[in-house]
Amino acid sequence: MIPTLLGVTVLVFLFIHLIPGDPAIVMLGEHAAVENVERIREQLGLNKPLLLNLDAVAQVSRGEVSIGEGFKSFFDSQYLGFLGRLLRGDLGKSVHEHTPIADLLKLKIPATVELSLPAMAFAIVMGIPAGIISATRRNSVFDNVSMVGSLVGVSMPIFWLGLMLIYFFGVKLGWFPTYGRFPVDLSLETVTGLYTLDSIIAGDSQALGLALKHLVMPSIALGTIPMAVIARMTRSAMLEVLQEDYIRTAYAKGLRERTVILRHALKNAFLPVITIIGLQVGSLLAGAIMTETVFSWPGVGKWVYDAILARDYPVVQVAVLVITLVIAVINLAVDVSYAFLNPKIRLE
Amino acid sequence: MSDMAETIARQVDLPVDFAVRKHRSLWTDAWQRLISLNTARLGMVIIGVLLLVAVLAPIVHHYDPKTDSSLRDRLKPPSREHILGTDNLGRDVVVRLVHGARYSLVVGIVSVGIGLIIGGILGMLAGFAGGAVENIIMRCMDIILAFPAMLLAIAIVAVRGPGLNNTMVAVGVVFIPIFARLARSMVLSAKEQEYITAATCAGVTRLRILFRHILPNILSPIIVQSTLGLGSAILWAAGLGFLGLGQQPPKPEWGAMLSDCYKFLAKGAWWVIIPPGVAIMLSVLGFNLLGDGLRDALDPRLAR
Repeated sequence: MIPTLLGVTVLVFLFIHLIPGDPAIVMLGEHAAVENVERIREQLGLNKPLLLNLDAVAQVSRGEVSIGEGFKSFFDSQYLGFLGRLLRGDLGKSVHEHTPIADLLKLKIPATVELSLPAMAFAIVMGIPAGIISATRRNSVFDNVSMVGSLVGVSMPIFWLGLMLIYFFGVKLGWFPTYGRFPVDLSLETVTGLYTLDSIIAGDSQALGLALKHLVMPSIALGTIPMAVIARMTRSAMLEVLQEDYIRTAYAKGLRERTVILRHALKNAFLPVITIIGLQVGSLLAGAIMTETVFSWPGVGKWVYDAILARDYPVVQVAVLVITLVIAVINLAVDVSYAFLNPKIRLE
Repeated sequence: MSDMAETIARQVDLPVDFAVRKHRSLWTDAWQRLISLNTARLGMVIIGVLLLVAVLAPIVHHYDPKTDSSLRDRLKPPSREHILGTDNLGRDVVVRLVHGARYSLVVGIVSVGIGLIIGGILGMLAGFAGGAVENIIMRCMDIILAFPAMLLAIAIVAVRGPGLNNTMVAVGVVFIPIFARLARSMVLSAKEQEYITAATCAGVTRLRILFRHILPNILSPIIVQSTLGLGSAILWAAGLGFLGLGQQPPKPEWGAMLSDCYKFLAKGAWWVIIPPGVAIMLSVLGFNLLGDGLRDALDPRLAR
């Protein structure tokens, strides 16, 4: 886990160096003033050696600097500087906005969280029951429809689904707003940054309604692919479990079907489903880039997209790193939850 | 002859069919199972149409996206002249759709090719060599896998610059660890088989064992993964096109077509949005159906 995460930071760090040409000039444009380019080079530490300062060894051996100083400058490199700043919580500055990235990130994260939670809830609440019913009523009309539906769901570009929702429910029927988190002309006092929670705290039911209305379409768009994947996984895991002897035993001793399926089968089919839910969080966060762009949702995804267009690479770098680390932590949590759910692992 | 086989079959209590039926190779057997699946047949039809359109379009009809626009016919709804209407620059949607097919197909094939060749070789080496080599290769693959696929592709194209070539490289890189892991795990289990011990005893060189004895036996999961990968590649490439990072306009890549026109959705111009999305969805669906079918056909033990 730790070596992998270190590897991730190396890769994200090298990211700036994949830019063809001089990164500072690419970011600022060809006609940028020399002092600005120099400032960016300084800020990103582009003048320093990449991984380790090997010159320091030579300098010490030639007796030009003392061992103590040489030792210090040996580690004075771009990567270690980057890593050191990260560990201190300093995420650098945006090239264009001159704002610390950490401050921007704090503004963007609540929006993405507020979008992802209902999306995941939608995926789980729809996906798991669909999978269970499909498995228990195998080859029924419901099974066929939901399995064809989930195949179509995983084959659909997520941004296109968003556009379809906008067209039918936003433009044609006018049920839901087509962009943003909240009406532009209204303001809401933010405490948590989650608009739904904030409006509950403020006791403003009208604001809550508006915030919820803005949430419906983006979260359905974002949750559809995970829902399809979860439904398919639940179905195949359930089918496997339903063939087991203990299920026949449970039926034979006269338990109600409900009890057999929910207490005996589902519990055992849950492990692969939990894994797949954990994996879906990753694709959810990556999908947020598309969904947030389509719905002009001011979260991390839209921020990454805007930063890419503006060639604000430090922002892209940090956002990619943050998303990847969050996913790594979630996957770790899934692994740990295994121990709670599966006594076999716990006993080992 | 067949009489005798039948008699023997009766004597040893085998189904008659077992002894009488003509010898079929494993591949013919898999093919028979594949075409008996409705879903796989549907997938093959979709992919067949996609291939035909992609190959024939440039031969039958010359299309120059630079001179195609006609500002008088902007955003015209479907009519007899333009079956699916025209886009924001007055270009016929059907024509662009048809000429866009080859971009999706090329991205899919090239990027899966990159992932398959590099990832496959790395994975086979890791599985076969073991020890430090395996450790180094697989740790590197773990690092790439830690990134969500789409995010990694976006990041690569973002720094390398937009365009079809970088899209193919980016999506290809995403596939490398997927194929490496698959190839390694397959080699690990194939390595333990007795026929490998036999080959080693017979003095076959290690390289020859790897490519002549192990490779053919790990081929089927790799074929399945490649087919499913083609679908994902088309989906990711369309996403990059939509974000303006893939094939650049005016070339009619499906994702880019959506990105050009989605602003006009508010005006009710559904005909510029629905067709490219349906085209993407159908192509991806085709490869997913065929991939699922191939999995059932190539490994009958998995069939449920």
